[in-house]
Amino acid sequence: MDVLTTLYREAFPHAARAVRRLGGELEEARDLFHDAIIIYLEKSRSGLLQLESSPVAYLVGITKILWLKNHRRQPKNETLDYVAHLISIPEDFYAHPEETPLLEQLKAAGGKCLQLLQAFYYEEMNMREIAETFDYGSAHSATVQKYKCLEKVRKSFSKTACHAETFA
Amino acid sequence: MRKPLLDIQEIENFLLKKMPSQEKTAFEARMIISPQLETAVDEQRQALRLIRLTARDRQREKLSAIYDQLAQDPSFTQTIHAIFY
Repeated sequence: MDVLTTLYREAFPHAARAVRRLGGELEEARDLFHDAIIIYLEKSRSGLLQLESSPVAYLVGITKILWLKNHRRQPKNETLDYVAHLISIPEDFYAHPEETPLLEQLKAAGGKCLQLLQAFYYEEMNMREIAETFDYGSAHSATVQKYKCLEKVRKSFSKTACHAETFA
Repeated sequence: MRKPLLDIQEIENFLLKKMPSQEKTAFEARMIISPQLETAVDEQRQALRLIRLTARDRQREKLSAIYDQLAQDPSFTQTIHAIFY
């Protein structure tokens, strides 16, 4: 079992219990827990994670905060309020509804280009790692390809009615 | 690299805060006088944001697959079942 699966197995029952106590159902607990793990992984990767408790406690805390945010409620106790302050959900974590057409378009185009762009802009891999993973002869070739892919994405967006100015 | 790709690279350096401060100041000044450049920056910023959003969705799919894998284990399923039902 890999590290992520082990963490999932250990943490999810605690997060699920917390959501249940707040009045939530299994499906919602699962979705929120997945978002909590994503936030946890992103912060770990960027070196922004300052854990003062175990990863499990952190994940349960984020799951609760996400639930409260979804239901527009404020934390009722100081501990949770403190956790809310610590975890700060990234502002651009969820897509705006107006962005759905562009997102669907990007996913449909998909393929190697999107994977390469995700590897650099999301997974924060360096160009040498990307060249190895995607079979480019050098980091330079991979870099040129990355910009070509980005150009393709930008061109496709320009053609779509939903323009960048809407969200700028 | 051809010119359009070099432009994309320059905008990326600006967006990812990789520009030295003097270059950044000059770039910001160019943006003020060139609406075209400003639009290109906005479009590229949005492209990066959407790429990250698709990556999160991909991550959600992976996590759902992990849940499905764990759901094959009766002890895990019983624990979750006891919480909700």
